[in-house]
Amino acid sequence: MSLVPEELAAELDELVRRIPGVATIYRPASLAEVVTAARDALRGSESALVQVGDADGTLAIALTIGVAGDSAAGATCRAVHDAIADRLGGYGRDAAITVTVAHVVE
Amino acid sequence: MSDELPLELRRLDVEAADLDGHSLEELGDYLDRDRTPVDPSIEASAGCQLVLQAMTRLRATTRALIDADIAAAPAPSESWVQQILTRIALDARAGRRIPFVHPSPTADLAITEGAVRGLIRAAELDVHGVLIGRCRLDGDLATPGAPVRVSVEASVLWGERVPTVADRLRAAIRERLVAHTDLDVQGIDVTIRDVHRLAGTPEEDRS
Repeated sequence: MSLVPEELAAELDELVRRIPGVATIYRPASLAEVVTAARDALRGSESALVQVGDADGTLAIALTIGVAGDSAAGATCRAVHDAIADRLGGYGRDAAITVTVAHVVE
Repeated sequence: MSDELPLELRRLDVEAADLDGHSLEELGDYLDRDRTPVDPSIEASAGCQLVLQAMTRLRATTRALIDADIAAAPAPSESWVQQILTRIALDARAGRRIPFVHPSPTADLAITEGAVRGLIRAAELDVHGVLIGRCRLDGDLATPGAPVRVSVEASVLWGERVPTVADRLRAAIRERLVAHTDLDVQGIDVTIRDVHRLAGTPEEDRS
């Protein structure tokens, strides 16, 4: 099944935000991505913050999250990975999944 | 709001790139406005959120300091507060990635060093009146299970028994690290660099 990256990013964005312990998804850190996010903000639009790409022919998913202080960051990080892997498994796809906790929100 | 403070909390030279293009002054102004109107660029930045969280705690404490009977004792030095703010901003940088182990070979899970330093700083919430300055993680953070040592410098309330406060701070830091990381913390070194006074501190406790 062919996945449209933008649609998959939006779908995963929505999925991740529903996972207990996930407080937010942060903007990607690279300068180009920051510029894109700023441009989107000026336009009043908002692109998904989950990154979907291709790494040497392998689907690659990356996102940076904030975790609620009353949840364990490690467990939440693993839950996010597993939820994404399960969703992609439903499409018959594997992926390299990178999840980074950048803030524990208290 | 911060303009009313004798302690100038704004004059700092921190690279805007560390805060996704924002400066400490901007973040201070944003707090002054009670984070309104909402700035999506700030709210979506992990670095900015780490700084805002720490800055809010620092402001609460420094405000109490300003309210204190400063005729009885000098207010804490401006440079010391600036040092803390600078450390907060520097600590907000992502730094090294500290891995979470996962059985899948294609999983790359981690918490940033900046997030962990934010956790350590938040131990201030558990030990009344403590302000954490320098915060350092020593060890091979990228290797799961490798021994790690934490070092923090802090200021404590005038009249508090320093060894007791240090023990409580050490325990609060360890509790947070155990809850949120897989780090093998071999030790937490707490160095008390200064004392400060809050409003309402009984005179007899100040000796």
